Amino acid sequence: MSECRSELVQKVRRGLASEQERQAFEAHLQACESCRLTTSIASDFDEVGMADSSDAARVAQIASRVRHLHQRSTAWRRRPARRAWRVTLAALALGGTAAGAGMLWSSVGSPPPAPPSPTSPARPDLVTADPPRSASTSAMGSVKEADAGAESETSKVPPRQATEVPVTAASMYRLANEARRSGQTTRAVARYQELQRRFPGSAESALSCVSLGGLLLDRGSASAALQQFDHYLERGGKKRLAAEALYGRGRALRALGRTREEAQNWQRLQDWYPDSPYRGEAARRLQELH
Amino acid sequence: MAKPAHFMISVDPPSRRTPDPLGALAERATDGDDEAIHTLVMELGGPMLRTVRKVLGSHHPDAEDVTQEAVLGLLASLHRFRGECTVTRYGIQVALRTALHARRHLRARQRVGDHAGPLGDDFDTKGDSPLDAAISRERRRVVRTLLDQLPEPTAEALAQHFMLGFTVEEIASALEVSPNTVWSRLKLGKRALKDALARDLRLTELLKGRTT
Repeated sequence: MSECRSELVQKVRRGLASEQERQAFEAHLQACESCRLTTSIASDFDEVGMADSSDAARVAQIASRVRHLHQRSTAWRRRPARRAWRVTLAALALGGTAAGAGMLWSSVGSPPPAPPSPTSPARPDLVTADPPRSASTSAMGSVKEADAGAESETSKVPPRQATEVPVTAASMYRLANEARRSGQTTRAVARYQELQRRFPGSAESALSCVSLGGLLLDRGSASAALQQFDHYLERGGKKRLAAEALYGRGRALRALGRTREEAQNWQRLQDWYPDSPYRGEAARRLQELH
Repeated sequence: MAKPAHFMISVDPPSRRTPDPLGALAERATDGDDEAIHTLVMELGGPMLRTVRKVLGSHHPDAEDVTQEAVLGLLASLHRFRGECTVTRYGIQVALRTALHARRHLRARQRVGDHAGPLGDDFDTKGDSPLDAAISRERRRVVRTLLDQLPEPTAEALAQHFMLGFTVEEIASALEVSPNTVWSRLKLGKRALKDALARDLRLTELLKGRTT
């Protein structure tokens, strides 16, 4: 495929091309494989990522959580507020947010939102942390929090800084998620269990049921995993990870050989959450079971 | 291509004459102004969320989380923003980068057997026919998978080109490289993409269905 340096494709795509340019582009497409490829791929992606009716609420939630984080950080007066705010943001941004079944604070109403859990590794120097552009894939290591009774992460932050963040359900949940993401399964399991023991009524404890259930399942403890998923599904209040919990529950029941209950579980997933990403798996498994 | 412009994430064309409507707000946010931060996030949250969806997939369960991560990254890096583009475009670039990293991380977790959940798919996209919609979906999958595998600089250039519709000059400015470097990366990336599309069996089968 020969290289084509025409920029008409982007101009046409953005609706900035004149009629003459558009016609020239249509003629150009006949002869240019590179632009044909760009046009078809661009068209594919222009179809997705459109605004959704629930976006305003989602963005408002994000804004609210960010605002809360900022307010908490400005209450931390050990450094000038401006620098302290950037340090906090940098640390949190480097850490990232929860992913997958460990979705963080999404169902939290009044409790303060937790700092985001990492999905990318932290850098050694929090103060001069880079924006997400050059994230590496090394293991988490530089963000440290006081976590009484829990193992501490390897960190390059001086020990005196480690005691500045209080132990909360949110911080415990974040550390557990960090451990899970970096593959430290044993540590993650221990932290989730500690969180549930110390903050049993917290939203983070509820969310941890889904994460912990997944870990236990992967380690072969299907029965214990099932307990976690059931606990999450049976609790009152909003259950934003219900689809994930049902998915995990289905896997646990399958591992335990409880096929009748497993089938009921998949049917429930299909009926209640027809748009979930797990519906394909639910349909496939139901077909196998019938 | 007759795709209406509103299907794209709206990006202000860079202009040296028209002041950026979010410029002053971004400055106040950099100073830690609580209200400014909130307003800025409300303004940029939508475009950033839509960008994340393009990378992860429309219904990816982590889209909101990754968007929040991107917002935090944006706010942490605002003091380095020098106005070389609009604040909106800067936010979209940060969101793209964050989402690409998130995908790589999720893929790494899947490789080690951590059931991180699906890498995302688009179930509600429209096409001229179900077959066209399926072909588009599979092509998106191939592109996203390739972006996970390419070197990050090439992947980011390709993503800005295909997903966001940025020109070479805009990409060069965002990545702080020369336009020739961007052209080189796009050339390599398109070549790899062409090969990946040709090798993908699912897509090949669907395309056969279109011609019969």
